[in-house]
Amino acid sequence: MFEGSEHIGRAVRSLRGTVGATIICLIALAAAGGCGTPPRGPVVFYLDGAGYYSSAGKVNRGLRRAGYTGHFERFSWSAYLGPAHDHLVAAKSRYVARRLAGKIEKVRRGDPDGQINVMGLSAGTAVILQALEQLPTGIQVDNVVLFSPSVSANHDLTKALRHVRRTLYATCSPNDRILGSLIVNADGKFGTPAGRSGFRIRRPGAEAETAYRKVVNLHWKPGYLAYDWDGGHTAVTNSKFIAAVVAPRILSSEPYPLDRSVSCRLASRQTGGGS
Amino acid sequence: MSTPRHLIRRGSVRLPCLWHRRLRRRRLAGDPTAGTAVPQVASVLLGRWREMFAFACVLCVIVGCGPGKAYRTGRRAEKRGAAHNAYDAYCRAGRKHPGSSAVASGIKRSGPAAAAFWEDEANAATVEGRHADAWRMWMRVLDIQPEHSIAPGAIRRIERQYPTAIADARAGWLRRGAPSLALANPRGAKPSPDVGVILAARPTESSRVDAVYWEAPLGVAAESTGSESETLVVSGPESVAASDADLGDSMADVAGTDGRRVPGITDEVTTARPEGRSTSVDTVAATQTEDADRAEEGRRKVGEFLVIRTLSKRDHRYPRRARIIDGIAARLKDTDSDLDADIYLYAGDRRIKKIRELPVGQSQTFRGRSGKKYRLTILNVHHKTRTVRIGIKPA
Repeated sequence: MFEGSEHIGRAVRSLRGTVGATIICLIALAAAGGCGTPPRGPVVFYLDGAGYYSSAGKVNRGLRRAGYTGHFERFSWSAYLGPAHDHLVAAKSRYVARRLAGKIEKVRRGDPDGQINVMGLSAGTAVILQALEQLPTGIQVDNVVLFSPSVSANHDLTKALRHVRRTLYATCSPNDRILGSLIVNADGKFGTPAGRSGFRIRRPGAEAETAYRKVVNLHWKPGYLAYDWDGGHTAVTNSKFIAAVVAPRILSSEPYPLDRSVSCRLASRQTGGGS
Repeated sequence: MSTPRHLIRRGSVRLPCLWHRRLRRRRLAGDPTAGTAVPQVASVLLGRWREMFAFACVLCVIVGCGPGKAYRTGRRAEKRGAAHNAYDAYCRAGRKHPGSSAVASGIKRSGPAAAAFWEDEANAATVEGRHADAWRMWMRVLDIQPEHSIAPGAIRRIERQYPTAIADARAGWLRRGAPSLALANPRGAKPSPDVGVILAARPTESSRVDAVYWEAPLGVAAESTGSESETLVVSGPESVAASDADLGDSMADVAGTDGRRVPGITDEVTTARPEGRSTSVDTVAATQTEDADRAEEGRRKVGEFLVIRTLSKRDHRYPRRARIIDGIAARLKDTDSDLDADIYLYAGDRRIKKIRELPVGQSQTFRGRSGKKYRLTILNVHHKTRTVRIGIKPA
């Protein structure tokens, strides 16, 4: 019995030593591996949709195919309790949005001239818009790409657009059956989701029109069938579409010739010009 | 104990589900009520799967589960070697059948060739100094191939070097989007039967067909002044598809920037020559003269109207009621499949005239508030959308 307790004591001592060594290793790894320093150069933050966690890889592949060499970070915002919970609860969480805003702020402060693009799918777009609204004054991202946004088409973007340097793109398609079946949008508002009709200026005015010059709705068209986007909700994240349609817009430093902002369309309607 | 063979209907599918097993058990136990309602119906339906399959096939053939007429048009154009027309047709098919893999592969196949076609045309237009056309063509290239490596640079270069030359084209683009690019016509373009034809606005027999009307948007529409007359384009739907990329954009947007004469289209009319560039010079010259005469005739005839308005019950781009002239408003009551229209005329809120079943090409007179007499003519009726185009001239 005495010999047995001695063995146990020795085992406990050796275990304590191992645990201590492991903790030290972890701290060293964290310090070296960079939970401290934010990435420099071009960064893309990507947010998946509600209950759909496999689009990041396709988007990443598409960007790489188009020649993107920067950092790609998938921001996990889901509670992993299913799509309904993500859509109705997690997407509206101020805490999650603050976490994303904190990340963006950290990267921007670390590299004031670096390119930061934020992309999201479906309910992830609600988190993005909320995070942009929470960013401190003077912190801006370069481009925002909202794939099939499940936020209301009348969502007021003016506050979020203050933190966008260049353009906010939103893909939309009338063939999106998932968005067509939504009762309430991920931002908690009712009405047509932006992913079906595109964003609209809710209250036209000088300020809103100036802000919405940065908003470009990418409407689905049959030509996109060649890039594997048939207008479906998640098909928009196909790597071919990303490489051909999205990447040229966000990777170039100049405005894309085909872009027509929401303000342009509104002005044309007011002058009786058409669409 | 095994299931007696006579209890299993011949040709039926043995379902591994619970209800089927229970049913068999009850039948074996001699329950006379077993196998009623749903299980029986399902069993019968499944038992006749061959008949049902044949019925589904027949249904598919009759109703058509294929990508449709536009797709077939695209296939024909592709076989002809007209990739840009094929692309347009496939796009039109794609709008109706976005899930069709045949259409998708058609677009994939014809896209690069169509882009190459427009690229060639853009280069030719640049050489000939038609910078607005060149700009539109490069935009089409980019529209077809968004990842095109040269097009964005070419567009920016034209925008920098010839801002005044492309001002109208650019304004049209900003106003109407992709449909405005359809004004870019290829060299020596002669509208094929698939693509459509350019016609004068005068109501003719050909305008009675159930065609798609490209016309000036309302509000800025069609008031020809002085010698400047309007050229209207009546076209088949083929050339629409590629251009109307924006879902909200309409075919109506394709015509003139401000509803007046469209230089690009008129130029096309006057210079149009048959396809195939090996045509002899004399033939080309003769055709050009003929076309020029026809265009001139068209313009003269269009110019006789003071106002041209489009009214519609179903096409929400157009109002149902609109002011026409001299304080008089016209309200479309209805159209008929015989291509006639019922129109009411109002002076303020007071109805002054009912025009009943007025066919295309016929006219009726009315007096304006000033007492002056005018003649209202039905120019076109598009019954499917309950749309009518009317022209007003002094009586």
